[in-house]
Amino acid sequence: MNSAMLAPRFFGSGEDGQLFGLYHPPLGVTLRDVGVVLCYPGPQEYSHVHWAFQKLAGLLASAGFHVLRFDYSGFGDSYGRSEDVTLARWVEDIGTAVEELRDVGAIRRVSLVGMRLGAALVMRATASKAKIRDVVACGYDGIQVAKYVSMLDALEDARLRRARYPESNAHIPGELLGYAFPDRLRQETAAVDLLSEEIGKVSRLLLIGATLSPLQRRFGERLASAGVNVTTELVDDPSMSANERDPSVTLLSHNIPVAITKFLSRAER
Amino acid sequence: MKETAVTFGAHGGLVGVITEPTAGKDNVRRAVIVSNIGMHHRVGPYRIWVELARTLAASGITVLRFDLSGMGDSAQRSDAATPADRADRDLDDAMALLTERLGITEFILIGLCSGVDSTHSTAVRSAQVIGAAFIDGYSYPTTGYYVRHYLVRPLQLGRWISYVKRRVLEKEPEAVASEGPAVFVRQGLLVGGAVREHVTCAPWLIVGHDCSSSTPAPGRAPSTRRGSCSRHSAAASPPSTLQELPRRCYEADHVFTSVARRADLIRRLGALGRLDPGDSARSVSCDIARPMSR
Repeated sequence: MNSAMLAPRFFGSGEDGQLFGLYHPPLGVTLRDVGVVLCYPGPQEYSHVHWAFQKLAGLLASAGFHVLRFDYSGFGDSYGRSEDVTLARWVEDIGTAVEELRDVGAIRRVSLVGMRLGAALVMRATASKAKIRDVVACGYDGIQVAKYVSMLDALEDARLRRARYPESNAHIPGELLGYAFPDRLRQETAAVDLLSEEIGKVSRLLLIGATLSPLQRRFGERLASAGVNVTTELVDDPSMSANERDPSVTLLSHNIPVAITKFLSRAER
Repeated sequence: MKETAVTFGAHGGLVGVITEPTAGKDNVRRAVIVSNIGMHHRVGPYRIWVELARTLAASGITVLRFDLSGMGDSAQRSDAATPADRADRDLDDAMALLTERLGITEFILIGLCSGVDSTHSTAVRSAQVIGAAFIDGYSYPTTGYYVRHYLVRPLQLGRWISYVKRRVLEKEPEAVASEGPAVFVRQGLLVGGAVREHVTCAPWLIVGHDCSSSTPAPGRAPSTRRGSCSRHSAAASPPSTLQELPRRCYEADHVFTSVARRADLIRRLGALGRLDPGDSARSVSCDIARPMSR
């Protein structure tokens, strides 16, 4: 990755302040007039996937795409307090990031990549925002998110079991895996169900992961019946199977970012 | 408060965010610099450096959080031979950036875990560094450590199973603390009482966990960090010339996985920004205590 080409920036004008993002300009011989916005999963996995998202951004930029990865309100370098965030605000943030990329890259066509909870937010963003070209949904936990929250709770239980005296091993109300997670946000997150929510206009959808769950299959069928060109890909990525469920370990994914880049590049031909 | 995203450094590849206080007469003309912890990027685990930066800015202190070269969003640099050299140059670039942009010439460095390496090294080298905090970078044995190491550990079956698995089945070699080329060995430093003699400021030492995976030898030079601060050896007695902020939250883990514990740490670090460089170690009003035996 050539950071000399990266353009870190604050953008947007939300009530709490601005969002932070990193713009990766297109590199290489084939420059495309298409942008890709990368949408992180939930805050509990933000550090876990940061490296992988950076890798994906680099691969996409090298393939000629304009790329923006950004931090949701209340997380990362963006403004706002973690305690005050809502899913609705994060969906708005995706819209803001899309407009920012269109402006910075002087492009109109934008695709979205979302992982786990990020995939759910991406689908909600397409329902509220027109002109999203392709969507890549990575990981099955973004379909019925209640299961994802349960998975995070299990990880929290495991973390507390590993605590050694005098570290506290007590659950802290309103927190989950070290982050503020008030009940309001917990309920809002657990209520996400893409099998019943409104679907936006999307040209192509890629469902990708190391495994394909029945939920993903049903979601794919739902979108296909609505006229979306759905592709599913199972990709063997050792990092996903080994460390997928441990947010304290950096996800050193390679095969899935490569596959996503190939899909988006194919869609452009 | 104003935040500015920047790229800087001799190779133009360092990425960071400057948090400046709103203009006012209470502002302090100095800056705090923080960087990576392990593989975390500049925001720190659970966004701790972001919260620290905004808290300090609210009290009139500028903060730069940035990624060391080859970490986070920063590009690798090619003008330095070792990771320690690269980190030294990165911090020099960070201080140069703030001097050039904001005219700041006094700096306070804060490091946590692996971040202590470069923080310590720069605190030794640079007279511009007027304060430093080393959080869970060093540890030293206490009575509780010896009790747990020699009495409790041998009774834990899981540890024996793990030992056999690693040494016998997987044939993992015995871990040997490396004697160099860590910044400490190169500088000829020893942790503990000697640190005070070698840094140009009075560092604040926040000690967390005792050595757990290695037995330190008194007076032995600290080893190169390998992602585990417990490998550092230390002087046998607690450093008496360093200010030790109590790990009040003895309940806190290595990366302060709790909103309340992070808030407590940030509050304590906030006092650093207003430190008078002329203060002696004992005159600063903060709690000084031995780290709790665990």
